[in-house]
Amino acid sequence: MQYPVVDPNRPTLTSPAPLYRPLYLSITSTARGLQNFISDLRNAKSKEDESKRVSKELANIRSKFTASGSLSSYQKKKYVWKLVYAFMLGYDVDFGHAEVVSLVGSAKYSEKQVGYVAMSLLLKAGDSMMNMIVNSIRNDLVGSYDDAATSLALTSIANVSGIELMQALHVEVQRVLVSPNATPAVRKKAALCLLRLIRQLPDSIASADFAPHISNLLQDRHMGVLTSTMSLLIGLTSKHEQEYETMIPYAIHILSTLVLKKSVSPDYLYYRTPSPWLQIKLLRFLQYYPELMASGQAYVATLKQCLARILNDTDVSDSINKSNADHAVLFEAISTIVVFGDSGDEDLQLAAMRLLGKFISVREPNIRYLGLMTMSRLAVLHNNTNKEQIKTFQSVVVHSLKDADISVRRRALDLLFVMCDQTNAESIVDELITYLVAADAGIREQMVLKIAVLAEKFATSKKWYVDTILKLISISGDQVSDSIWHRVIVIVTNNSDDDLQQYVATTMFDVCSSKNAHVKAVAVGSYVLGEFGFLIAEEAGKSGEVQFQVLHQHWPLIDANTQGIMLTAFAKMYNLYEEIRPIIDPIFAKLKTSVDVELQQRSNEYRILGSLGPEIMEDILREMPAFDTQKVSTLEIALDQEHSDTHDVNVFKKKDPNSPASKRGSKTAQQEPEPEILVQAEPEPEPDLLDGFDDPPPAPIGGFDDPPLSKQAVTVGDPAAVASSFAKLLSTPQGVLFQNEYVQVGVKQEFRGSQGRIQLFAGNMGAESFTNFKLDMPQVPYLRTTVQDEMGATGAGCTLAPKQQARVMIMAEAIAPYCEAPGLTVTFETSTTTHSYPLKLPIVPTSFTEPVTVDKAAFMGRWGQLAAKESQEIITVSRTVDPAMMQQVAALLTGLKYGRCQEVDSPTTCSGCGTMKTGAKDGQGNPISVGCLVRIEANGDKFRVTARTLHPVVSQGVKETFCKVLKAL
Amino acid sequence: MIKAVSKTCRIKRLLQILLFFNRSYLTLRPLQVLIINNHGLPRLQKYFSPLPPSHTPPTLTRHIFNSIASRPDSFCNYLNLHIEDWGDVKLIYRHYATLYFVFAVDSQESDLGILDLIQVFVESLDKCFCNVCELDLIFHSDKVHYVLDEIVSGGMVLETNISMVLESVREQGKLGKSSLRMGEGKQNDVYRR
Repeated sequence: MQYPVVDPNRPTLTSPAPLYRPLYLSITSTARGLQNFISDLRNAKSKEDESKRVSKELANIRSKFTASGSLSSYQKKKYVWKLVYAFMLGYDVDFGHAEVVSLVGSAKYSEKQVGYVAMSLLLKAGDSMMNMIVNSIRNDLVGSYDDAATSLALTSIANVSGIELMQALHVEVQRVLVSPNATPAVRKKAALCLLRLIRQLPDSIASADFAPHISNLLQDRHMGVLTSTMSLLIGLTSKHEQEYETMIPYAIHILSTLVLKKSVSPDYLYYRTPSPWLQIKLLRFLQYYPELMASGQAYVATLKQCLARILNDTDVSDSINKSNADHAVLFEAISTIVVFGDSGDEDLQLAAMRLLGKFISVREPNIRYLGLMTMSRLAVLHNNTNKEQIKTFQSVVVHSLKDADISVRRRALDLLFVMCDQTNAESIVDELITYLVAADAGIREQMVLKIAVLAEKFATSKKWYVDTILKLISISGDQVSDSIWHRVIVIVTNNSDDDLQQYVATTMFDVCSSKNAHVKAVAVGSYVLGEFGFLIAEEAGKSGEVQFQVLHQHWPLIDANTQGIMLTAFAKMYNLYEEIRPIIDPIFAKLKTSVDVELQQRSNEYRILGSLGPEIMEDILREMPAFDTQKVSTLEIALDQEHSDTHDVNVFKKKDPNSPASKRGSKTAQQEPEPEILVQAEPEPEPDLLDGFDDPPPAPIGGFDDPPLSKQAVTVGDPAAVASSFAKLLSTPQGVLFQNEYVQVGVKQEFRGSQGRIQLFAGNMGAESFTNFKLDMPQVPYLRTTVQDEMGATGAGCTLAPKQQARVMIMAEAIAPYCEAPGLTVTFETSTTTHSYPLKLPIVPTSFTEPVTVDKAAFMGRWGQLAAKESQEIITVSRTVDPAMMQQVAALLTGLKYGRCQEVDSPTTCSGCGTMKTGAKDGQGNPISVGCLVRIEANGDKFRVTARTLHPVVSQGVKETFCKVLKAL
Repeated sequence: MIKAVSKTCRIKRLLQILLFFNRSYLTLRPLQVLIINNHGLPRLQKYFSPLPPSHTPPTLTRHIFNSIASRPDSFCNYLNLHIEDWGDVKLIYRHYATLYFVFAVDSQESDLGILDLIQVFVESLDKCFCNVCELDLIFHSDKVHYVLDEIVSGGMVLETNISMVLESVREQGKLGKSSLRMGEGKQNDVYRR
């Protein structure tokens, strides 16, 4: 690959000279007032001059607009363009909206045109003028037979994309799109307008009904229409892939026309490539169906042919534009092959891999950049075969890590990060560390974090891990965040079995012996020597006193925070080695009056500890217990944030197992039942349930026009169905709370500690609008709630059009023990009837619970202690309890966020332990939590549910929750 | 029909859906179009989605310009930029003579495809203005907007065919002209300020 002969940086554009000099009449070419204004601004000597000139002009325009007497059409246009120009220069323009509105409503095209452009720049979503403008736009959309006006209207709707506009006009836009009379120009704009719309209001299109329209549009011969339709289709498919599966043959047919037959109107040849954009869109669409190649359909062969042709026939071209276009298609084809993965064609996969290998070693920076990016997607998608091949490129990738261009370096770093595993971790981490020495600030922080994660994840030995982190600190200590070195402490503290602690103590002693040790190293050293210094105190030259000296030499140079850590280390040494007490005492005494409050407090406390007697001191200054490993590593959270920043919704990334949500799921699967993911993935995940509330659900509920299939089961106010939906939601993070032929209420909930975020989605499933739609949530004393509600459904009520959805977000914090779930009443009126459904929100004591794992002795001990605060109930279930059912019970226990205590269980019992967090504070300001134990015993077709907690009300609440869930089994 | 959906696949889809929830705001972000000259003065700035309150178009444009202008032309045309309160955006830009054409994109469009789109935009302007230069963009900013409206609509790629774009712009020009002739007889006073 050669660097382009035609440099994009050339001084003038080299496109062929136009044969015509089109003199479109534009307002700017005739309006001398505007021309003068622009010239004045260009001649302005300084920023102040310019802003003075603009202020003067704006004042002039304002007075013209407010003066009585009408402005001529020309004046209006001229002034509005001046406003637009000033706006573009960055000045605030907060008036003239009425004139814009009147221009839009004008019958003259020239006025309309100016009006629409100004509108899409000056008016923003949510502007009060929007409502006034809607009718003008509607007239242009459907009322007029003027294509040009319709086009303008569609463009401006898409550009402004205010929610009001969308809601008011989406029906009209759909009508324009499918109208048989629409010209291609109008149609392609309508398609994009609709795409913008469904991105904002995903439920405004009933997929089942709309698919046939799309297939009609795909038979259009106009390339522009096809490209826009494909954009729309991709937008639709990303939400409901099953609904649009029938479009696959159309897409492949178009693709084969472009790729195999190369038949396209000459206009759409872009540097001799037949409409690359359309090819890309088609391939993108196909990526939503990863099992496509395995489906055995007739079109698979055609698709394979197309892909092979793209892969083999792409030549290196001397025109940069030709080469860009070809490579754009090629990269998309490679991505498609990557998505198909092992179900696809093996030869293609190999060829794709070979090409990628070539791309990441070329000099042309764009291609290399994209090659690295595509390869890292590949590495995450298919872990085995491809990863082995990717590993062979390690040295090439490392080379890119040294590129001058930060964009390329970042991609190389990403790739190295994902291609790392047990076998090559050491060499990759070594490479990264070597490079870190020379790396610039822009990328260092990211590198340090990634090295730390890799070192922990693929550590061959714990010692290597600790050494790596220490190297990081010594090379780039400033970039090492606290969470990284805290993690070292956690791992060292929790590994008391082998000689790790001793090893680390020795290492830290050596590191801190140097006067130049980094402050973070000193922090680690202080902690480690304070905790584990005694392990090496017997060795020659490392006695307690020497250890103290080694640390203390850094004292003047470190920050107060680290001094605090060191002070604690001194206190621990004070306890251990009697001989150094006389040296340490004066330090504490001196700090008694430190300006730093923290140091002052610590020194005072430690000083007094000594006088309280050896027993108390020893007890308090004992070694730290092992850390709670239940917590997700803060490091990973940091990385998650990093990831979420760079994340997008490309089809790849959605499957990226490294992405935060999925990663946390898989990572914690071994150790920690994180309810968020596991509950979903474990017992019978019900995709329909998930889909039920945010998107028009696919199979079971069908189009909005058909009454849902499940309707018979859920009749109006059927208490059994309501109870069962409620029970289901107690152990799952999302689902449908209530549903009948009028309304569907979905819930998505997320709890962390004492806090929860609950999203309610109430959708109008009927054919007519609801007025006075309200979601009433009476205040309860035990929850502190804040509500976000854009439509006012929780307040004065709102109107809900058919297929529209009201969304409400509730942030709730438990502030007291309680047992009763808070209520939610859904009320609305249709033209004939008034509806009212009293429901309960699934916010129960177990929602705020976090699992606790205890051993048998601890469980039985607490069980005995809490006997007085017991709540018990016996319930009958529909069938005899068998081992399979007991497994479900165990899964429920995890679903309700209880840690199972298997040691105390027989085959017919199931016990668990959890702690309910509240935001209330006790006397010392610590949050109050309520320890909960629960035991479920089966006998025949009966369950006995016993809950014992620190608080009788919670006992009752926990018992009731479990009974409800068990009944719904 | 491709109904053979394995269990792992179902779980995968669930994860996809979850991811969608978490990042739905990202899906909403269409591309943004900027033209900035070598001195950082904006010649066109069209943000298709509302900016976070901490930014205004000028400050954001300045920020984007600063991060791009420091890159030599031998570097690749992509830059990931972190914008506070807005997350990461990918900038795809080309540098022509005195002007930077910058598209800030999400992942819905192909990276190289956008590079080509910039070329289409520039060539369209070139044909429209007959060897376009910076002054044309300054004094005929309305025309630039009309051309852009034919290429990008609502932040999404609308048309990629140069002759089609020019055709539409020319049509509109004609319409505007004829409506002028019909409407106002007295053209004389329009030149007065």
